[in-house]
Amino acid sequence: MDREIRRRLTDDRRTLAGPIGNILIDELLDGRVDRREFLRRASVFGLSTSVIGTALVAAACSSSPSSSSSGGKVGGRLRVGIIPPPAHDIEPHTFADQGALETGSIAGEHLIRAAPGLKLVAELATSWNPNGDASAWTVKLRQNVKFQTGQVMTADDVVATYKRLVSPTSGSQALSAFKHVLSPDGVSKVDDNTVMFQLDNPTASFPYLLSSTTYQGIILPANYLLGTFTSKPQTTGAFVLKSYTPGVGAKYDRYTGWWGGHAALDGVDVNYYQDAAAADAALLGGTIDLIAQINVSTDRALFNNSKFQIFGGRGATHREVPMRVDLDNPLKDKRVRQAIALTLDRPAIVSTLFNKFADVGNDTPWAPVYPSSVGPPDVPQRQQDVNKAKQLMAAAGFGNGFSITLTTEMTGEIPQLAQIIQRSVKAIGIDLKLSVLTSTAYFAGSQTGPPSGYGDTPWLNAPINITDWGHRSVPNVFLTAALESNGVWNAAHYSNPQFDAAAKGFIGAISIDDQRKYAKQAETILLEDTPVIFPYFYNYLAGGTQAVKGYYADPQGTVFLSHTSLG
Amino acid sequence: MTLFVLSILVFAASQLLPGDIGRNVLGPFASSHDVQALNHELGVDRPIYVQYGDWIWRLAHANLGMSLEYKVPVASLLGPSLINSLKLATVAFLLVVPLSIIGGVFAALRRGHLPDRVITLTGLSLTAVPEFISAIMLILIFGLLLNWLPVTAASPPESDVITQVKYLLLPGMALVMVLFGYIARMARAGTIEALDSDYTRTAYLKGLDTRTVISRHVLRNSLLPTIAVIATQMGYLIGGLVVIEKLFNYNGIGQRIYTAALNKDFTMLQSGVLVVGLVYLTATLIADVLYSLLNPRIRYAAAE
Amino acid sequence: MSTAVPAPPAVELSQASIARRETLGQLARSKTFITGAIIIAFWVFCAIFGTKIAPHDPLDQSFPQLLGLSRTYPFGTDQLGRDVFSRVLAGAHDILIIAPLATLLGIVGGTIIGLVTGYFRGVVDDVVSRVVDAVLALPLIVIAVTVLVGLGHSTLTVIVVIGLVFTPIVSRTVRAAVLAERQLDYVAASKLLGERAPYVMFVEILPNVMAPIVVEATVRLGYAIFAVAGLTFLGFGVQPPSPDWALQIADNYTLLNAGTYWWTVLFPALAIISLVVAVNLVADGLARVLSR
Repeated sequence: MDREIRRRLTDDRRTLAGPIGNILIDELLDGRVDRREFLRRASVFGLSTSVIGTALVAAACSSSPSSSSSGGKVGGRLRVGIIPPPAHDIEPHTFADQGALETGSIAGEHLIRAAPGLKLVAELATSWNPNGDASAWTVKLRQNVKFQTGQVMTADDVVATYKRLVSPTSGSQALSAFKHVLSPDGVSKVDDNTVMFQLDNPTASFPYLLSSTTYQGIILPANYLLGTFTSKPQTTGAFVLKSYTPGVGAKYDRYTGWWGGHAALDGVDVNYYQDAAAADAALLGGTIDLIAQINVSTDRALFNNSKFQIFGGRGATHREVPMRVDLDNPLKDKRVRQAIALTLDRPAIVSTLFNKFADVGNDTPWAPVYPSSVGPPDVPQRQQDVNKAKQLMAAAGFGNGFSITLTTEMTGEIPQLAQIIQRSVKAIGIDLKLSVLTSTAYFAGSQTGPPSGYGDTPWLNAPINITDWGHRSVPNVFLTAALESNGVWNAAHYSNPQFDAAAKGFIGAISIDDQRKYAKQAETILLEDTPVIFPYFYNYLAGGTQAVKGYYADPQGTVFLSHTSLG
Repeated sequence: MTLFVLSILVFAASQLLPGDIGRNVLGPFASSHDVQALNHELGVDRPIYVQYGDWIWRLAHANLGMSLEYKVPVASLLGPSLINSLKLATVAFLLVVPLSIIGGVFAALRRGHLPDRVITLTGLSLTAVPEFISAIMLILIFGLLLNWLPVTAASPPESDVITQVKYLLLPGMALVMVLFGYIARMARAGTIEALDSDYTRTAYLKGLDTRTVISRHVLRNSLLPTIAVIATQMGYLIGGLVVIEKLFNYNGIGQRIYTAALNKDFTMLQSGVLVVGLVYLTATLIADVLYSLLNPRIRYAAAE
Repeated sequence: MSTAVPAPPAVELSQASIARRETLGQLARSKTFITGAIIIAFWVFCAIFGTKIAPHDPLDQSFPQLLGLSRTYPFGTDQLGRDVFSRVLAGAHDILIIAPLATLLGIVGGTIIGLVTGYFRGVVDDVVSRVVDAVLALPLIVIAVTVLVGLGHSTLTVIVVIGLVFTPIVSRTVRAAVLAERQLDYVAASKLLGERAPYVMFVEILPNVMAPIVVEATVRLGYAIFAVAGLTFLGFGVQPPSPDWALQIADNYTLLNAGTYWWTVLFPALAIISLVVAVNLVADGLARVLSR
């Protein structure tokens, strides 16, 4: 490192980087993180490009700005298949189902866009910076952004959108991410182009929550009227929602006033499908160009077929198998839960259901894709061991097995996973009955109140179940909602103060070492207690014809077409 | 009267959908206070007979209400779906009626011989194939392997009639497979009855040739049971094609009702089922009229 | 009860048993009936002993996935590595419990209602007829799905729903037969002798309308198999991991788009078709013999 660079870095550290930035630079200089990981973390904490550049040069790395040029053919309408159709009206802050979020995401934009490799890219925000302990974040907004109504986007619009998203009475589904993180009072306007987020608890990964990862966070005008999303175009995105027919489809045209320029596609036609096979047939038969989500076990026809390409990458999309720890049945004993987890041959399950498109899970929400995950060898990988499982069952007093019903939903490969688990636990004498409900029935009912504090919805009250979980760029929601004591989606009703402390420490931790330290604690506790089995984390895949260019399958499920073209 | 009973049945069935409509609309995180308020606003906390009366009152004013899940008028969604269903049914009829009547009459004329056996057995076997199997096979063979026909039933918007029919051919063929056996059997029985009847014998005695006898007397007679079968299948054809519509991704009324049941969208469900019932009753009415026009004997029976 | 007429029933009885023997003889000569009966007997046998005669455990997932036909796996293997041949053999079990029970429920209910309405006529008859019309107007699948979503799906609910939908349809057939019977002398005679209505209906009339009821029962059985298969395909019928045929098709038909793996769907499909054809053949044979 020559003197000039060292001097510039010292200057930058003092003036521009801030306390968190300095931690990141230390990590890079000490070799604790590589260049890619540094860039990712720099994007999270909103380090300015000049600081990034200096730091990279200082670390003797060559800096190359990541510019992805689309350069595709201009024109044409992309025909997209979405499965299943939205179950409700399209109202961004209430998005909970795949169909609705995909439909909304073609027209809508967020402050930050979650990009491949867990990176964050500026969208309607241009920069985001934390205070010293990541408990307050200042977000600068892009100027000259026009809503499709013609009005210019200002801080008022962003504040109004976020107040609705974090309001406990608006019916917002984004609360799963923002509860205990951000309250309506914490959102305020600094000036026309600056918004301040004052958090309830320090959250180092807050920019992820502001990104398209929280797919409900589509920025809408301050004077947006509930229920008008599909009748009046008023987003900022590259495409204008022209028409929407529930259960049938939606049409979008290019938005000529888009701040990003001129989208390659003339428009987008969405067709809804109830059934994966029907969508496949449509793609094979040339009726559509792209299916927003496909799955190895239901869409085998598209794999190993030279006419089609598979989009996608690693993510943390997964299934959870929570086991109630508080009911008067054998699952109350952690040895029984461990035994069940030990019967699963995970690599075989992954190859059966996903071919190569999934990672093996280790009964913690730390997917291998997360840089903060510890995993083997520090936390051992759980492997199939039927003998040990039998010993645990005997020790727990259930050497002769028992009978219990697993409740789950008809979604993707879940019915098959249920049958695999059913068969696996038979080896240790457990007679597992299956009750496979429609997704609607599985998630029906209330989630608050008596009898157990989790209402009466099957998915939070059945003794053992399988639930689908979407990808998140950081594991925070998996921790706070599914595993912390009294988490809103804690289907196992698990409660362990030591785990809660480790999770809280993790969420507030800024340096990667601190994050890994807390992650290791939490992973070890979870492996011991086994309230939830995480059998695998699978890749979010989309399938399309070879003509589709410049598309990537966002593991969160948003359909981002601004830079997509046909040929 | 039947309509009244039908409306009670439909209403009762939709009451089975469990409980909390307000909860269903507002989502799991809403407070129980808000849920109660919405239930009150929707009027679903009132006694059932009051709700029923209210529903009938609105129906009488041609008001089908708002879809609970999609927040748009039910009629705006059911209307196009009903038209789609009628289109599909029409295509299926145009295919199956001539085919099965010719088959049935032919079998009757060759009664006991090979053609009769072949036609009867084919009809019986086709009827035995569940519709989801025949639909899957048709998609696979004609859509994907031979690439002759589109595999989705919905044609692009603003397509001309010929294109629309082309898109409806595959699902129409699936229905043909279901219905051919029935109608051909009925046509065969009707023809045999007519052939054995006195007036046919008289016609022959009068010196008319076979072709004239068949076209004047026998054919008309074989049409009668066919009309009856079609009328009784109308409810199924308009509202019962859940599986076929799903496999061909067709926005028919069966699909609408099915998703309404899944989503517990009870306003949509009630109206959808009632519309199907209405279509069925209308069809039976038309069938009755046609029947008496074609068959003078019925009039005497009715007058008795 | 009157003791004055012991003789005529006895004569009737012996006549009836002769008639029954004749009917059986005719059935034994009917090729349609025999073919159907043999196929049904085969599947009933499989339903009871299927898991025992199958070469592999139909739920065993330890075989290679999606293998084509071979000597070890005559019908290949499925996505989870299960032997399709063994699953087809064992797959009759659930549907051959659900469909007959649903049919039985519909026949019993329909017979009672048909007897009552046909015998008494009047207001009861009118009301029931209107209900029958209304039920006929609604597609079975729509009623069934609505009820199953409402009450949650269990095997029992499937049986009850299908049975209840069949009841009015059966009652219409029975009523028509009863209407014809009640004009006959023996009914008038019983009434004159002061027999109570239930006795006349169930002891006097019922045996004489058994023929149409038996035919209706076989026809309904065919429909019940159809309905259960359709509901299972939609996810409301038989639950995994049962090797039920419709469930196998539902699990695997998405594979067909790939143009391969056809064995996972074809064999269970042929099994369902053979069963429905067999039931139809039996119904046909019965109808021909009994309506003579």
